[in-house]
Amino acid sequence: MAIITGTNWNAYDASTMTAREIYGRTLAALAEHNDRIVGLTADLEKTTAIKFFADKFPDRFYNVGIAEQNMFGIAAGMAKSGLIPFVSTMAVFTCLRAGEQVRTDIAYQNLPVKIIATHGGISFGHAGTTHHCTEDFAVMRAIPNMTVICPADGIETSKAVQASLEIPGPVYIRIGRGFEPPCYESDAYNYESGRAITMHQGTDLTIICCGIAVLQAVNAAKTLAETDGLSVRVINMHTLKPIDREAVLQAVTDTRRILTVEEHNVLGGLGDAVASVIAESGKGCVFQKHGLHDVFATIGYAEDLYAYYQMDANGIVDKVREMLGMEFEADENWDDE
Amino acid sequence: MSASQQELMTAKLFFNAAFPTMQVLLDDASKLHKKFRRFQGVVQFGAKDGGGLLCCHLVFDGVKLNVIQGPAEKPDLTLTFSSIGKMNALFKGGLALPAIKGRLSMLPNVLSLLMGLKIMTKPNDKLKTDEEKYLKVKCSLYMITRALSQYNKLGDPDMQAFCRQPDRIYQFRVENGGDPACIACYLRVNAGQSKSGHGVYTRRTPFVLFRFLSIDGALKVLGKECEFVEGVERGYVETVGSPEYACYLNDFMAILQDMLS
Repeated sequence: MAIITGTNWNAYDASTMTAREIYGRTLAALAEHNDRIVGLTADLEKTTAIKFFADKFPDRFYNVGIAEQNMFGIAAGMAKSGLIPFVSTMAVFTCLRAGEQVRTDIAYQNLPVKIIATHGGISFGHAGTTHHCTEDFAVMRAIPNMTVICPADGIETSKAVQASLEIPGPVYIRIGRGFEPPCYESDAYNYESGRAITMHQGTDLTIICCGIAVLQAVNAAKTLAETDGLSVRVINMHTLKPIDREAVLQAVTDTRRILTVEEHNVLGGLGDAVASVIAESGKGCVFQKHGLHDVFATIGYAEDLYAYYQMDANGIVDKVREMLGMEFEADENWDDE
Repeated sequence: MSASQQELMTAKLFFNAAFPTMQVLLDDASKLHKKFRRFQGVVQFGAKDGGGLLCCHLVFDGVKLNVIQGPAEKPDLTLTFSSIGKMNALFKGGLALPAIKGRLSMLPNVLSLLMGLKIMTKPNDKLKTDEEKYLKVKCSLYMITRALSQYNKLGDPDMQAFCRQPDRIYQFRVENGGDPACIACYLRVNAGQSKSGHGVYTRRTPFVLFRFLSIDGALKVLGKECEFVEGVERGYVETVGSPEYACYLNDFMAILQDMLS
């Protein structure tokens, strides 16, 4: 199978390209070497950035209109006939509106349909609850045969898209709206589906996270090291299913305190996946799940929402201090320097 | 005749934001630093406004400067303009003569320091040395962060609305020659309060980071050789964090720059 070697153009441009844009370009590059790849979208050619593929391979691209359920059914048929469909639409339309088709048409037959779900979590915050998607991890994790991935940034999205070709069954890759700052400085790191990546070493506590929370957790770990002298490990659990059990249990052994952070309802997502691993192991640790605590998110710009729900670096810092029983000494001098 | 609200706000911003920036010149401008090493005294700047006087005074203790709002008890030198409009005109680079009283021997030093602030409006192609480039960037960023905070404290309703945010840091950082924070300052806001500060704020991750990739790049953006967005495209500056709030802050910076230059 042809895999593009190196994505230097991604690394170089990652700061100016959205994750979905990098996805579109990666797909177009992959398709040059693999004529089984086809692309589908439901009237979101530009929004999901699959247009980069569509521009290059118009005969292998299908815009089915606003008909997500049909689209996943069509993708299943294409996969059944030997093609590898990459299907792009918003996360909420994938896991809820077309949930049955994803489950029965695709996953039940273990077909190699690669789903790139954009605008995941609350990244499209100002579009309102209809466009938020904080249930997809729970839905997708519960569907047999489905691999569930949530990359940390555009570079990792590119790697996940490339790696998805090596996975025989269906893959769900959840990304944001774009505009999220890059987490990785280059693509010179080893990415393997199902294998977590340690982003920051630490021994006091481990933050296990995915998606946009990874960069925030890394920044939080740096702040905690600098201001509190805390040693916080950060694990990028980009693959939620199958989860890297070894990394979770090693963190429990090494740090005894685990905080999960995800842009998702805390029910059924990464936190529950990690909790299951820990509970089944019989090991004890201090454990907290952080994300949306069983609420529909309010409406607003993504960054405002991340701050409001304490999913930004500062919120994570506060959560860690809370777990460790530490108080933050506020700086209350408001005189200008 | 009383000054308009706009003139009054501009004058207060000069007193509260521009004057404290003189400390940068006293610390980092080699000629001025030398000139003020043994300089002592109190200098009052003011302008008549209706029946009253809007003023502040500068207390010099060598190169240490303290800017205090309001009249001095016993100023060594006073410079009083006949109107706030005229005083603002002088600070913006125009011509206006104040009434001068007191120790005239202090005047050359005080004027040279006042003129030193003009570095912020000096065209980039007229900056001859690296020191001048450094000073322009540092003074501009220190002044703008302080002006943003003062704009809130002086009661501008839009700025006050902007500052009603959770605890957030808007960090400005200039990199140069491998130094990641050759010049750094920040604006902190929290529930309507604001504070400008120097250096890198380490207790919180910035909500928005304005990262200038070199002094030359910063000069191009601050000197309005290119628009901010163009500066991002050309790689002179990058913003990390909320793009919407970066734009809001940029709008306030543009308003203040128009008022002060």
